[in-house]
Amino acid sequence: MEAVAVHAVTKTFGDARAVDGLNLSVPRGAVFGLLGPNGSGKTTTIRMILQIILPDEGSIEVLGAPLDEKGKQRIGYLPEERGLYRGMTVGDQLVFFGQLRGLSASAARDRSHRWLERFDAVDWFGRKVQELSKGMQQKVQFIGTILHDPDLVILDEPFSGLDPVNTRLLKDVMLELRDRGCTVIFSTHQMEQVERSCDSICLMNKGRAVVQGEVAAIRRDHGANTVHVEYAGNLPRDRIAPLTETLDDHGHYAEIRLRSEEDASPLLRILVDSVDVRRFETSEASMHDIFIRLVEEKR
Amino acid sequence: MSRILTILRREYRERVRRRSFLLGTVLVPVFILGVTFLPVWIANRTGTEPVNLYVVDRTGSLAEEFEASFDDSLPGGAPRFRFDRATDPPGGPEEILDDGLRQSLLDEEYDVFLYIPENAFSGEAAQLYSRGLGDLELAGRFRSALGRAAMVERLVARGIPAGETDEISRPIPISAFKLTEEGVREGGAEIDWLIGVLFGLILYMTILLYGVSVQRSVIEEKSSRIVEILLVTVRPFQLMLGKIIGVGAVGLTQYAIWFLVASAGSVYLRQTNPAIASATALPAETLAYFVVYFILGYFLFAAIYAAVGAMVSSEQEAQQTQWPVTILLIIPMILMQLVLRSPSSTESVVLSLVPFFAPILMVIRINIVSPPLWQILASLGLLVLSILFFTAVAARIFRVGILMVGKRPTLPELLRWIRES
Repeated sequence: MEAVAVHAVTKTFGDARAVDGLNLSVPRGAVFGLLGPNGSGKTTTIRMILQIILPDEGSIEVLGAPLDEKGKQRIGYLPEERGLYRGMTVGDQLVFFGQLRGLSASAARDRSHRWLERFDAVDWFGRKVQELSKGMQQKVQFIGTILHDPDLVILDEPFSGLDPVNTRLLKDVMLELRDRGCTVIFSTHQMEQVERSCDSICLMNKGRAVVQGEVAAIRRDHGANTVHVEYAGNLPRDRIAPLTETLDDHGHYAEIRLRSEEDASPLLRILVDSVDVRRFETSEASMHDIFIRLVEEKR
Repeated sequence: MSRILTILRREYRERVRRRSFLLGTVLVPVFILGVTFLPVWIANRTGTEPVNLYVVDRTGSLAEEFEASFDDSLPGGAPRFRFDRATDPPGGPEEILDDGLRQSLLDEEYDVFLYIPENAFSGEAAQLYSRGLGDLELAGRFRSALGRAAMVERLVARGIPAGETDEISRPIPISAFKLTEEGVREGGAEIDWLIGVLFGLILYMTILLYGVSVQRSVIEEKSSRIVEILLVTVRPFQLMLGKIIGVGAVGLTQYAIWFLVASAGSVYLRQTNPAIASATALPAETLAYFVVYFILGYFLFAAIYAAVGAMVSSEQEAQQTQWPVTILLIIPMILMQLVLRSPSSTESVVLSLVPFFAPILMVIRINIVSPPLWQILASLGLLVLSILFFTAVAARIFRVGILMVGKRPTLPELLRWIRES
């Protein structure tokens, strides 16, 4: 069964079509990445899944049924733009969020303590939010999202603004949630996160799904015709141009997509002639690459 | 229901725990008492200042009788008024002033220069010079003292013995009573007037304070985007209602505290000064109306303030947008004078029925006169109807606005929000 199923959903704001005939299928118990450039309709889609706004057309099922009051209590949501009540203490705030989702005050308090401990922040309980740094606030908000042990967690850009340590912590907790049977949907444009943590993705552009499915399958479909080269010297751009479709040159490192898989050997021969090759590796396309290619094709 | 309760409880607890709640609870009565009693106190205090008069009496007979009216003494026991009667200086008042008296007045050697012309008895005006007679009461006393002096002199001139003139000119005091449905109660109109103003001010300040507080709370949730989290489990109308009731409960708590303090004060007053206690005692009914009008008035304004909060993205924008609402609260404060002066005139009756003005103006009228029950019921009915109407409109604006970021809606856009949602 699917955790979220979006059927032919359209949403228009004034003249702008934010989401355009979107179909989406999020398998249960998966970590699902919602990708897309800014303004591609990710946040609008998320808000419609949560019934914060209603679609103009189409229907959405969450956890097997149209979302009702009971269903809403099984969801945890972290909006893209974070905010907490600045004058409230961390503890009061978490208890409030917990109560809104049907927890008793004492259960909410117990769980807040447990999660704050897990995030190494138990002594924040009585402190006011305005005394915390931005990163700390983000942790508090994340705890507020998962406090009630939801079956579905939706995180809008959860990694933005986090340092590497907290990024790892967040990723670990996300995987933990999944292992407990919770479905995690998150939106991002950090492709590495997608590659490493997502089971499935949907790539959105201009309100439509450009590609969706399991990450491994998508990468396979887009061919093993990507070459990573580390080198010293000047890349002979003119000579390799007939072989390449795209070239992303960083000076000492280049990611090259070939026109076909058979072009790898000729490319290596040209490179050995003209530069000092330190690494030459063929691989499947990275999500980053696929993302850029698909989005640019549509322009 | 439990969601509304959760929202309500948060609003209530966060506010009651804040230092500003304690401060407001103490400062609002202090401020209001200050505004009402300070002028009275200042007026009374001037009675303790000595007054030096320079009197020139060309009739030769009025000055003595005039001075007899000023036998007050200062707290120390010395006479408050000191008179210097000039022995016929030459010329009119202008010349006398030029002859050094002007400087004496400016140097505060004298406070008042009174010139009584020769033809005063046949109607020529006496002239009073001072650095500024700020004290209206004092000017009134000079006027009536001179009138009384003239009357006594005329009586004497008509052959009435000097001993009888006091008897003839003695005024008769008036005691005022207020007639209500419950009966008769002693007490001046001044007390009713004062309590009317007091209640009007309290209503104005609390409705404004708590209305804006609702608005601020909406803006906080909107600008911090907490509202998105809330809206997953709470419907916009529940959120608005929870907020309004929660903040209103804070207001009622404050009222309860004031009421307890005032009751304690009146118990104390009854033991120490029964006369004032009975004059200021309020019928329970009046208090009940006061609370009912606060609740209804607050509800009406809070719903509109909530909608304004949802329309804007920041406090600054709110400042620019809320003025039409605030003006609706200020108008009755301006009209208060009119209602206080003639509480039963057609204008006053009509104005006190207008829903936006009723909370303040009707409460004032209830304090001063006892308006017919139908008028009170009509104003309550209209108020409830407008609450239903404006809450529905505000809820529609709230629902759309709460998720809108950026540009403030124009009036046509606003109307579309109301129509479409």
